[in-house]
Amino acid sequence: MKSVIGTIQFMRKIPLWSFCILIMIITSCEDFTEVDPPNNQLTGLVVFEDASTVDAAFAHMYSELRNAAFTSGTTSGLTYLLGHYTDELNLYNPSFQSIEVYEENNVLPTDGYVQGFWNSGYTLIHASNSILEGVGASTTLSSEDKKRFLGEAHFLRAFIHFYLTNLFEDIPYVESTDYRVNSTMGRMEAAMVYQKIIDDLMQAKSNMPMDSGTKFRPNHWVASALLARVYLYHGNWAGALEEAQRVLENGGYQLNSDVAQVFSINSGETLWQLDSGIDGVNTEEAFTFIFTDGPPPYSALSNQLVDSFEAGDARSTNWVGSVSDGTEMWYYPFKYKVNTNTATTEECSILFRLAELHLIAAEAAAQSGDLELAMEHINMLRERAGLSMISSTDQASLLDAVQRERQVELFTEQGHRFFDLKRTGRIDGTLVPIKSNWQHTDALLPIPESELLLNPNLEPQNEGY
Amino acid sequence: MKILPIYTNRISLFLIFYLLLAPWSTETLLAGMATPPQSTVTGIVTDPEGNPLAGVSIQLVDAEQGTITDLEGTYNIEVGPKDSLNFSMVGFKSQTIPINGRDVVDVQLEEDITQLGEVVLNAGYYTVSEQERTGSIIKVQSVELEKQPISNPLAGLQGRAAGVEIVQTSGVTGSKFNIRIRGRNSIRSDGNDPLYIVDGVPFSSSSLGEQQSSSSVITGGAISPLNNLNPSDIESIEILKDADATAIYGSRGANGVVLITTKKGKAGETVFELNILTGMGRVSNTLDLLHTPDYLAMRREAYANDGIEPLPSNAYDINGTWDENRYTDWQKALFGQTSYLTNVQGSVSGGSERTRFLVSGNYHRQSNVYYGSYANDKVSVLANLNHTSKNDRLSLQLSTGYTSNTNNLPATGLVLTATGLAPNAPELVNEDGSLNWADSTWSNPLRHLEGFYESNSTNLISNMNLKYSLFDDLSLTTNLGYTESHVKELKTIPSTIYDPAYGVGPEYSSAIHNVSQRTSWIVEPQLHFSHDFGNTRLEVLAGLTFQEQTDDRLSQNGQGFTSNSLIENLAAASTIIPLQDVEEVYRYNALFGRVNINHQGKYILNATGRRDGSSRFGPNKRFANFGALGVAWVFSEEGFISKALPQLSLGKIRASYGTSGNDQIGNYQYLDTYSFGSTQYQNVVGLYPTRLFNPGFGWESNRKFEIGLDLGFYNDRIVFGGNYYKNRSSNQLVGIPLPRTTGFGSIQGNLDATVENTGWELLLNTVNLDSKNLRWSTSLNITIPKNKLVSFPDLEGSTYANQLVIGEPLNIVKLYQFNGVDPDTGLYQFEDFNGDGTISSPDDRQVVKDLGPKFFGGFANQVSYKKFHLDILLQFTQQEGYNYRYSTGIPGGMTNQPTEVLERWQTVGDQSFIQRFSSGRDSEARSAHSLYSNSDASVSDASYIRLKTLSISYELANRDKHGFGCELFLRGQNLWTWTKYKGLDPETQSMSSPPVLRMISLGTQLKF
Repeated sequence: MKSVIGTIQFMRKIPLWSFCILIMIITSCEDFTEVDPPNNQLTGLVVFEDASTVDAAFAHMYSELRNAAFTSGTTSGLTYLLGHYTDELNLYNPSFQSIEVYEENNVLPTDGYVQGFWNSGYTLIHASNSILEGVGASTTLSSEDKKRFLGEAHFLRAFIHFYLTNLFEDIPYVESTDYRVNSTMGRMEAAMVYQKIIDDLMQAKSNMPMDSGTKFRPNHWVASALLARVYLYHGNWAGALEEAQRVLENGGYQLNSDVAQVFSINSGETLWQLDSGIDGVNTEEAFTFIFTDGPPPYSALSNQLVDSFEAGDARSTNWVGSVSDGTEMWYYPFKYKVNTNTATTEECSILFRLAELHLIAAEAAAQSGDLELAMEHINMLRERAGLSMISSTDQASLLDAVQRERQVELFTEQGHRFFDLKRTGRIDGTLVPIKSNWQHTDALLPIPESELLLNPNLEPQNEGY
Repeated sequence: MKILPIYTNRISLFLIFYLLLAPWSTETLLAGMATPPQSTVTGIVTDPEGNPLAGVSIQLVDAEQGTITDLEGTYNIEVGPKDSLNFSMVGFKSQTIPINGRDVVDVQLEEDITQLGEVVLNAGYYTVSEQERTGSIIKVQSVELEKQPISNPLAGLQGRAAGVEIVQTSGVTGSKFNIRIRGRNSIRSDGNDPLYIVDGVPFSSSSLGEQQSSSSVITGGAISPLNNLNPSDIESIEILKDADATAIYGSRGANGVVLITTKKGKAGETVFELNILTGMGRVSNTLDLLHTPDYLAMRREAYANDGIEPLPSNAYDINGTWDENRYTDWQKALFGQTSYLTNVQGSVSGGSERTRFLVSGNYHRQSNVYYGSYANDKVSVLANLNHTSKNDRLSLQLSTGYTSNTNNLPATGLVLTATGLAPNAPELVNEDGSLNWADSTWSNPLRHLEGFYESNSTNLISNMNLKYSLFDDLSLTTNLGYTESHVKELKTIPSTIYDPAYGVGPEYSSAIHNVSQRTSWIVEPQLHFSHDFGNTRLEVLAGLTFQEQTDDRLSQNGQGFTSNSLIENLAAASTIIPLQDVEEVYRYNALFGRVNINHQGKYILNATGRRDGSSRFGPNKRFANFGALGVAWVFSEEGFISKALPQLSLGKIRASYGTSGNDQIGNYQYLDTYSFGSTQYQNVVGLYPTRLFNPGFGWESNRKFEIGLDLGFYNDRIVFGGNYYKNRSSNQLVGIPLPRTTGFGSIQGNLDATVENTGWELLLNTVNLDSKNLRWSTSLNITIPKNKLVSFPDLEGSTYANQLVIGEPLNIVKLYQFNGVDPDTGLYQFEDFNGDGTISSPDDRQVVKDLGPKFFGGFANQVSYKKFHLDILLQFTQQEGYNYRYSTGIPGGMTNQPTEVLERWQTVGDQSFIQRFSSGRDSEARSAHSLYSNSDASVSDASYIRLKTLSISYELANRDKHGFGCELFLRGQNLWTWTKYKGLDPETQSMSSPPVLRMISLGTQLKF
């Protein structure tokens, strides 16, 4: 009984002190669950306070373009996959079934690489938009830095949309980071997409510096070069010619007279190349393509491509490697020659080089009827390759010559061959005879199925899928 | 790689062991024959908590004499020094103890589990008896866990707990078990894991492994931390299911709570126990695949069908490059090795009434089924100490467990390769032992074994529980816990995994190193008050929780070596790229309480509640309240019922309703941040947007309702339990999937959707026979779960439109409808639902298949006959699942096929379910096959009945009678499976990981 009374007496005391403790603890609760951000993250505002962190945000985009996105020289990049899709590369390894669907033009809407092109593209577009918004709102960045960052972000947004529209035709043109808008966007007509790209490139051109002091970051001239390409693809011959000539005349770049040195890190004709990230590392392209024993472990150049070189073309001797087992001969792209690590980096993946601008100028001039100017530009490349000059008074044959020149100059570089065949309407004529499954609708890749499932506004699927 | 040599001749080792022991036992047996003088023996009898037991009957074995204990639990009796005493009491297990010449024999009786009223359940912050519980709590005891040669405690729960679905994801050692307690509550596929508490300390089940290093080896991402708990150190596992039991865990209780209690020492003599077990096993199943002649014929027919002539230069299997007479069973060659198991467990326990201790050590090794020698090695130590002060005011409980776990695996799994490889593919290795690349005509599967994966993890769980009785009715308890886990992982990718034709050397080798650690501490001060007011007993509990968990991870990729022999050394790499350097903090804070009112043991009311704060939410969304009410009516205690139904030993109706929550979303999700990437550009490390920003998401709330009936007949020889539950989860916290045009795959947010889990859980335990020599008991549990998406505003317009259907379970897939093979074209046909002439997604994916279980359960039998003991556990599930058609290549392509493809279409008019063979170069055939993989043909019955455990043991000597105990046992796991499943294993349903292993093991237990 005593203990009961004791307990009851004690219980009378409980509410008071326990209540005090509870109040104390509950008020401290709010603080206890407050944690600092993790050490590997910066809050959005902090990133845009300082130019060096904005530079780091760009650095991420470029390293993605180098390693992971559609521009990479790996087996998941455009160079490799579209090489098989057209007539540049042949697959030898039978267990590479995911590549075989490209070789056989059997790409499906569920294809992982298609998803990769799409995802990597839009992820980087988001990153550009995030920079555009962050830099725009920043109050601490200098106006000079702001200008340069805005120009570069506009350029990248245009650059990525350009590839996406050429792969998928009508696509959403994403200009903000608002997921509510972006998740329900429908497809914009390709012509409108081109207009958006041109607008972005105009912004880029006017904001980007003429000389950024490095070829690892795009500058004013790279924007101009992309604009020339965009005009060419879009059939604006005058615009293409003008932009190309601006770069050729004022950009300060020179064709490398030694064909073997065109892809070296210090090549004078490079407008924009991707830093290898680590000194001594060379390109993914060299690792993907070069082999030393036959039959080829993965892929080799097609006969169509090897046969398209004229006799004595220095590009054939310098940019095509060969392996023989005594009876058979196989060829591989040898533009990038270093497939091991070296003391210092010797080669980087090039995204823009001057030779393309000569070809753009030549084609645009030929289309505009200025055949003399067209021949002048083609012959600069032929001369460098040790080939005879061409002369023609026939526009059609000159345009053919431009395409042949593009085939041997730009092979296995960022899908140029595929895009050229498409835009010039030559794709069916070229591929039907050599690709048993080629259909007209294969000129477009399918929209990834998962995207259609998540955003029905992207329908309809491209024809043929 | 350091691998200990495998003991090759274990069985003979055993035999020697037994022979050595045999003389001992005979000697002891003979010693009992003498007739010595009488003397007085005294002692005290206590319960497992150390409280004295009054009224215990003490009987001299083989004689008439006997006595009972007094109120202090003491006794005295006249006996001879070589006699034995039998101690028995209702509710406790009888014990026979030889005197062995002692004057004092103190005994601690163990509770008898068949007596429901006496089974004490651990409910986390409090304990409750089986008879008086208001909530849904299942207890699985060590005797059941010990019967199985397992390394993950969850494996031991399979088939034993109603409402708990446990699925092994792979036969790889150390791989994960998926657990769902009463179904999937969250639309997220992750975030459905229960809360694990080991001796009062929350144990994070999320892996510390680095995705990049382990993902290609182990399904489910990484090695499960639960693998670091030694099953033989576990005394019991309690699973809390309903609101009444889980609401006190508030925000972390939505998916149930798993309480793991380690073994404690018992007062009395010091007992040494040694347990040795060795076993072997193989994968439980392989696929029936084509042999070389059928395979080659298929390939030729495929090319003929495709009109490809001559055969392409890379059709190496049939164009004369590879030997057409070769045959290799690749499944056997690549994952058909015997897995060897060794388990050695030793413990010492004992102590006095006031202080008890247990120390145990365990060594566990299991090798893998993959080609090569890979194994999982575990060493664990457990130390437990309990002390009660002389005045009984202070009691202290200390437990510390430490595990070191090394898992060696090939860098990439080989199962998918093995089932797809052409049966006439070349020899794996050349005569000189080097890899055979067959002139670059294949990618030798053993190239993956050039690299390896090794994970070293250590895990410390330490807990102290202090209890001080302030007054008779009021005590202050503090639960203190600390855990520390370290994981070191290494995955190597040497240049030798590439075809030598590439001509690349060690400068292309790379190795991923990951070092992670997690430390956490918890402090939980609590006040317990309990008082009897005559007929009514009141229990009140109030407590606070402070918890912090810090995760650190540093993973690095070393690239470029001068020699592959240096690949394990990060310092030898020419380039080191940091992949991740993260420190994350999680803090958690709560106030919780419980009020329990028990009137005459008949009417019981239990109210629990918790206010929770978690750092995983944005500043304004951090705190939330949870609570539950449980009631029970023990009607068998009513006089009129016990009179009318004297055979009814227990009758109880109980019901509960309440809320709990879920915060399993990862840390910092509410922040708008940029993260550092792992790649450099111009000597700058990249920064990228971490996620789409949404600071406003809050708790997912889960409302649970349950009603249950518990009946026991004939002194609980027949026990029936039936529960009906209905749980609703709303305000779903999900990574809402977004199209990638947003830059991300998802955004974290609350969805106004409701998921309902309902179900019936039935349990029947019977003691069928109980005589002196023979005892047979049976236990059956069945769960019939139902999962349903109740509401989802604007589902059609959301990104879930093609994943979910209102009124259907979450676990559905939408598929094309397979309509057989067109007799004219020989191609697969599908239903064109929208009639647009083409089969396309999403409009034509209209067939809904539920991949969740329809019912599942277990059927266990224990038979003891004299010294033999037999345990059988059958586990069963009825369900549908993806079969091999989902992942096998096109029939006719250069991948091997299940034998069913021989039934393919051949000529016009054939009725078949397999389309004509095609090499894959025919685009129509290829796209038809792709649709087929996503059609209802690739989902089929995956029900199974599996003989999960078969254990036979023989008691050679009893410690009480012979002074030492010896038991021999034979244990089997997954010995037999009945299924119609088309695939490797209906449980894992994986084509990329080995099926579960069929293990047989032999062991012995010694006690002295």
